[in-house]
Amino acid sequence: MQPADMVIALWVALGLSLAYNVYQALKRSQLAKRLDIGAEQTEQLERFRHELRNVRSELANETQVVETLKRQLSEEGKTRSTFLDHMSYFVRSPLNLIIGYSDMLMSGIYGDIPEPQRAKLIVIHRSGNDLLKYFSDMLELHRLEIGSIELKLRPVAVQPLFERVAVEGAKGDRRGAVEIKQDIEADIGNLFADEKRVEQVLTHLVSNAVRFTRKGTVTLGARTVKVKDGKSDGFTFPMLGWLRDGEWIILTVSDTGVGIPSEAQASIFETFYQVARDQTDEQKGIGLGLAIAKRLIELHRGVIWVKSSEGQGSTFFIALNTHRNIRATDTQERLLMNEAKS
Amino acid sequence: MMDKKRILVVEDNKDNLTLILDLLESLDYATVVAGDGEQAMTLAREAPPELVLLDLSLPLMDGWTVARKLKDDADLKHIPIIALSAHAMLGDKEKALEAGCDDYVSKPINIRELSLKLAQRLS
Repeated sequence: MQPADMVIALWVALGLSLAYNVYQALKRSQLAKRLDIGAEQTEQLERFRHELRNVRSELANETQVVETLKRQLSEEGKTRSTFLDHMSYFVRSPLNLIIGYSDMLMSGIYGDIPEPQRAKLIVIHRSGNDLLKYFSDMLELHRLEIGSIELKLRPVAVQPLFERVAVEGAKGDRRGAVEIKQDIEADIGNLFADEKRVEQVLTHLVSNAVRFTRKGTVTLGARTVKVKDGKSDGFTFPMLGWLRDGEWIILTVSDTGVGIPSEAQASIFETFYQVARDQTDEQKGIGLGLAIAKRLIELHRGVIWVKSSEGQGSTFFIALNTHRNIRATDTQERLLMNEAKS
Repeated sequence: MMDKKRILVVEDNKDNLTLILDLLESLDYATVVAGDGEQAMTLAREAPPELVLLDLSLPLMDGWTVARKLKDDADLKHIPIIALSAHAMLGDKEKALEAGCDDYVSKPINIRELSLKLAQRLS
């Protein structure tokens, strides 16, 4: 080996070692930096943990406060409903006497009643009944508003429900000129609802439909709709976005009656709303029935709405949970409801 | 002539009582009157009636308790009970039937409804 070659080799060796050292130093400094970052991160993590602990204990306190408030509210609700029960009793008792005695007088138990007096007795009797109905509706609406009405949710078969509603709803048809039909989808499942309450709502809708249909048909319908991501299979309606994914039963009450003017359709579920039109006394309600219906359906987490065009009849729609749906997706909520009930 | 059927009327409100008695008399029934739950039990035991017309809100012992006691008594449980109540609330009827009442009429009393139910139970 030539001395010149050795010098070169030495330089190369020196260079390599220098490069190696620089590399090592760089690596160390990076490591140190990373370690630094590591320490910082650990510190931050600690801080987060600490905050989380604080939030957790705050949350526990809040939960306690909420629990206490809930207890107080339910006690307050109880006091209020006891007050209402008493008030109800003291209003109903004299009203029942007014209605009862006018009925007895008209029946001739106390002797024959001449015609002019008889006509006045009919007014007393009818007014007493109107007042009683008015009072009961007001009380019910109030109970719904303060949340003291609890639903008894259980599976409800549609067909027998419709049978009872058809019989009850037809009672207002004095001329016998309205036919009540049923249109139920084959193999329809059960509703998951408070049977008495749904019957009450449907009966009100059918009686209304009969009152506003002088001659024609009232149809009770039921069909299943599957809702997914705010869309449904082949059935569109304005309130679709309000329904959670899953299976729903749509109950309908359609009539071939006078219809509801479009400007009135948004307001008919409001308290004391009356569609401004010439109505016979027989057709006039006190305007609380639909407000009660809406609140009862919403208490079921369902939706109620109307479609109508003047002169061509109206259709009321009610979307309610199916029993299948409840079993599949709603166990948690059902448990909560049961808990609230007990 | 056949003896009139005897009905025990349990009602604390005088005006309501007159109304019911007038109706029952016009339907040709004999009546016995109790103004509270305890008196109702005493009278029922002394001379069992053929039917009990029972108001549910009563002093001393409420109507539900009276119904339960009558149905617990081997000598009296065959007597039909028709409950009368001004609480025309949902679920009230069920509560009365659970307590042992055989039927339920809500106030205001519908003359035709009550007459029909009495005739059914006493035929």
